[in-house]
Amino acid sequence: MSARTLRAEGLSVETWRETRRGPGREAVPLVREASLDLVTGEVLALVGASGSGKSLACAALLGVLPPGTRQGGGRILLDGIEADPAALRGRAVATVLQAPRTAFNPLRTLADHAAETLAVADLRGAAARAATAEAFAAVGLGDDSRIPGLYPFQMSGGMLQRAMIALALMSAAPFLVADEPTTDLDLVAQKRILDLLAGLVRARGLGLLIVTHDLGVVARLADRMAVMEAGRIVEAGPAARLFAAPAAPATRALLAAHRALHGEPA
Amino acid sequence: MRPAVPASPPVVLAGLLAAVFLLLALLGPMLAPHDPLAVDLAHRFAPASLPHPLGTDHLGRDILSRLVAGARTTLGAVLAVLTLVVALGLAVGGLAGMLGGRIDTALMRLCDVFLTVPTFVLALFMIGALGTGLANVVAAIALSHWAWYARIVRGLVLELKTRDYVLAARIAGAPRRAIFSEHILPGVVPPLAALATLDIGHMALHVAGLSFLGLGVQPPTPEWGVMINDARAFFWTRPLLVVWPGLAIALAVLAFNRLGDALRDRLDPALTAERGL
Repeated sequence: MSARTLRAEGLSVETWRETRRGPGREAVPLVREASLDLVTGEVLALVGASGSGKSLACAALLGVLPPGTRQGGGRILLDGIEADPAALRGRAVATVLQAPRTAFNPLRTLADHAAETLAVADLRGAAARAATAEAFAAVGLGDDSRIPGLYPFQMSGGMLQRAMIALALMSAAPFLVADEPTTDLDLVAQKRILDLLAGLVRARGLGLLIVTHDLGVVARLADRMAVMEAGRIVEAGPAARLFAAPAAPATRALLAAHRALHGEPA
Repeated sequence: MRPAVPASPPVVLAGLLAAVFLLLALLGPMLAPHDPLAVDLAHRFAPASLPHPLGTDHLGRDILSRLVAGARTTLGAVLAVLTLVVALGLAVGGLAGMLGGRIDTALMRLCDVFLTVPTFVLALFMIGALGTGLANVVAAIALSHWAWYARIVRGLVLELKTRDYVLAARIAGAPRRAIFSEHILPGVVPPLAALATLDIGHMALHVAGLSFLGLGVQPPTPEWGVMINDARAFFWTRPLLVVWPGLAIALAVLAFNRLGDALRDRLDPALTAERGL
């Protein structure tokens, strides 16, 4: 699949609670009319404080909303054509989750996980082994042939995150969603993973959506950024412009917080 | 790569005993010294002797041979019951847990109906509807127990569904069938195996109990419950006739219970921690 653009249009996610008076339920909006544009070869950063709806917007994009929430509206367009998120998962969009330790089944080896991902693309046998080796090599896990046979508990967090990126590459999806991919890692591993992602975007022309609250990550990687606050995208545009001339109060607050913590202009 | 935990002596003993019972059930007819159905009225109520180590019953049949042959009947019926119960429980609980929503609600209310009535009463009712006989007893016991298994399977599935690696598999585009067999089932099977092992004794009591009441296995087929029923009339004069099959049932229940306990401790550490062991 060689799609060029992936657009989430007007995504709304809501939960519900009992109305205070009388029977019935009322909707509580969590994500309001969020739109995101992914283009292959570009990095879009979705930033915002905790609880601003970043992860839910991603879940809605992938069609995997957690129980207790439902989609209130919006649609997904692949190259301008409306698509079912379930049909995109693992084919047009691959995903890297935040916590590598829990994202692997402890009873399954890396090779098992790879086989599962490749089965979605109908790759089996020798072709699957070749694709596995290629993807592991691309993330720097290719120099030891024992790695695919390892169980998750036999690997470090950084290795697992690399392995998860390798799984995402195996799907050969043109778009990659990375939800806080470095949050659980130490600084050295963070830098390696970010370098790896940046390199993959360049080398393979991936369209990367990276969710983060770390503006340092945005500054390193992103071409464009979108800022979320209270479920809304309050500002979006080229990352350089938003860093130089933030318009929305939420953007300014994030930048101020980052400068206060790191003591240098981000 | 589980660290080897040494089994305690009672567990080893229970395991050996259970193995003996299973061996008897498998090889029964080959090991029995006599034909368990051979009537020999000249030697009725014979005391223990070399040809008849446990004596003979009111028809002169060799008691040891009947006990050995009975192991196959009783444990075979238990195996059939457990297979049915586990299959039904996995199917219903798996569907309810995986699909959720209205299907889940409907299946669980159905379970509630079966859970409301005490199992033995429900089994008696089923036999009343289906008629007596070993196959009907197996069906009745399975139908009165599957709801417990379905409930437990559903709970395990719901819990496993919240794991990140299940989300990761969904996001990777894996179909629901593959997620169930790859990520859910491996977490459901060990506790279910422990539960089934624990229930061997319980089910054996049901089979023997229903046969004792004359609803299950019919005489002259050797079965422990039937043997106790046969011996009932001579209880005051020949109490040993009741004791032998009773001892077989008690030992089998004890052995499989202890084994199931150990299996649960091994396979379900969370449960062990909960009980403060």
